[in-house]
Amino acid sequence: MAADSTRQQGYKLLMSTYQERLYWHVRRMTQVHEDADDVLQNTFIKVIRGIDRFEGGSKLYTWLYRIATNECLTFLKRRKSRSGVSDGIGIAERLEADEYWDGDEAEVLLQQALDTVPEKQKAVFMLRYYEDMPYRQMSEVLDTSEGALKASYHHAVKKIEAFIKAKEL
Amino acid sequence: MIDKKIKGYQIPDGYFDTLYERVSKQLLAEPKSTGMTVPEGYFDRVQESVLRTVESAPLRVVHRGRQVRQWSMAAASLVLLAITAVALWPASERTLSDAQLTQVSIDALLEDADMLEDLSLQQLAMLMEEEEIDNVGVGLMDQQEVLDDLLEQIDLEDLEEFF
Repeated sequence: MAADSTRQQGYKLLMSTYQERLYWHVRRMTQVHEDADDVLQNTFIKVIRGIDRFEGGSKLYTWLYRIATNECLTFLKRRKSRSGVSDGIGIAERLEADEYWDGDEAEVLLQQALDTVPEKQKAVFMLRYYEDMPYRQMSEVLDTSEGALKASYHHAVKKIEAFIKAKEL
Repeated sequence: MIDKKIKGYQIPDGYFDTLYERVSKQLLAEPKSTGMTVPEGYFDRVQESVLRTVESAPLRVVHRGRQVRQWSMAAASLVLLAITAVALWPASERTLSDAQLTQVSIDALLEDADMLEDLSLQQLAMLMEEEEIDNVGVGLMDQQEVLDDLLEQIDLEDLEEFF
């Protein structure tokens, strides 16, 4: 009983420490709060159930990001297959319907641009641009070589720029 | 006075030229700057929700590899088919002897469609060990994960885009 209570405290501490960072990573990937909430909860459930498998070979938060990112990619793939190929248009409606969105026109445009980037490139862009994650660490999170990550980031930036320029014309 | 203070310290070339850009980037990382907000008290509630879910299911379920889960899915389908078939098929149609069954592995059967057709579904069910049948339930619970894994494996277009 005491062990259960200690374990619960541990889980709470783990979540308190990382939930906001992971939430915003997941939210930027999924864009809508409701989706982010689902993905975040699934992430923590998997983390807690798999915590015994964490061997300390990488930093704990690298491992958490890895699980969260995989959850996001799986979710986005499912969402894409449900709604067809993304053209960056549908996201505007999704954001409009989200109670927890108060962005302006420029921010909607950025989200639309991000929505046109393939999921894995998007993950690279988010981790690099918003979180300043070093490529070496990102390589562990996404299980991809640093060279491929740099190329992905470059492609993502180009796609975002091209989308925004096309819209501004 | 100023000279005295800065003596010995150096800054990178163009530091102040890029300071605004770097600060802006940090500001952009703030939740508000993306237009995204979060419900009040959300982070308190989400902990409770996750812990409730974790407590309501056994933890050992996830200690299973993709291959095992896929096997469980296949096994689950066979058991369901077997249960249905045993009820519907007459005994005279069961052609392969039970003794012969001990000579083949379930993997070989799954790979060999002809051999599979020769088996009665009741015999297929007999091939499964008790432990494998126990795992069937776990496989069913993970159906969505298995489908996701399979989708992930065949999405070559995304892989090309990524590289």
